[in-house]
Amino acid sequence: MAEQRQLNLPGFYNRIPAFVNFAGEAARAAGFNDQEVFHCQLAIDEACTNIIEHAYAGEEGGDIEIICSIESGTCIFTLIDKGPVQFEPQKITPYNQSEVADQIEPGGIGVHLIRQTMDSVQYKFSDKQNELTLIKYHHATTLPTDLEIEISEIEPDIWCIKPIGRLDSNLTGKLDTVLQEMFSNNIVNYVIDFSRVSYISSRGLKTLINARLSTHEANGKLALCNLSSRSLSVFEISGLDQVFMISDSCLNAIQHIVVKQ
Amino acid sequence: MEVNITTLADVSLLQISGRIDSSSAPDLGTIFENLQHEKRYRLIVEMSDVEYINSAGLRELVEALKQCKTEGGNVRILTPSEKVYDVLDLSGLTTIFDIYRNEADAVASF
Repeated sequence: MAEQRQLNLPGFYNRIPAFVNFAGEAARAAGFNDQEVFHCQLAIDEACTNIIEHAYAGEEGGDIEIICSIESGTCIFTLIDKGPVQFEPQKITPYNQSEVADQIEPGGIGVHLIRQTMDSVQYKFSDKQNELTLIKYHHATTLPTDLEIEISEIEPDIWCIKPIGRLDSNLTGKLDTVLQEMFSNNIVNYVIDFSRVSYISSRGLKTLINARLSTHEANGKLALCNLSSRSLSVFEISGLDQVFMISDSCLNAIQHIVVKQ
Repeated sequence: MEVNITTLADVSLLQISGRIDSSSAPDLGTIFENLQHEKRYRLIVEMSDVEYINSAGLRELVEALKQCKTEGGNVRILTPSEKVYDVLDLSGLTTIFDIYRNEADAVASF
């Protein structure tokens, strides 16, 4: 269910910080990271400045209304003004990025920043009002990736670790390091994808058991997926197939984690 | 926004802290203009305590850089905060401004 928030204030420059705070709180509620929160604040700041400057041609021109629809990982901001002037971003002198200082015309830098920070920017005009819709998504961050282990955030707070190759002592050592690093970053919900693992040694099993214990202690969840029949038989022989959540696909593994939460 | 100005021989060091937004950027513009009047064209802007900056702040920095450059000077940025660096980067300005990580290097660059 999306949550709706709304803020309506007169279009004055000294009210912009209130809009900026509103955007920051909405972005945090959507689970955005610090940089994404800042980007939402910046885009709302620039958009409000443009409304005052262009749509209302100055302060005291009228109100600015912001409606924000929040879902996990997504913020949709709609800015509404009743200004007589339609703000058309294409009419603003485009910001020319240049390598030479003299050639920089910082005029359209605000619009440039909105486009750089937001995933979608849409303008809609009617005879009654101007509407600007800005959409921002949470982008999965990626930990520094070892060439032999791929790491990605596949769902908010759920990470996928994909070792590539034989889970022998060499690769298992790397996996140990990655798991410790994730643990110290409070990442406790993850899927280990075995689709590219051709072999698992007893040392590999030991690492997985330790990971299972530490995630369990931290109230996290660990699931395994895409095991080859050969790897699966290693788990079955040792009875570990009863200990781990094992799924036939990454999607089902995520489901396991989400349901268990 | 707060700005402290220290004069070091022919270089001026501006330490900015707080928010540089549409309300405070004009004040920063005035500070730059005053420095121009005093014929101070070699500026170091220390920005580690800048909590927020928007396009209005960038515009003042770019204008100051252009003015100083026409007079044979420069505006160098010292220890930008994460957000300042982010905004400079989003605007493609990290290649326009010389950015320094320590004061001695920034001063010696003139």
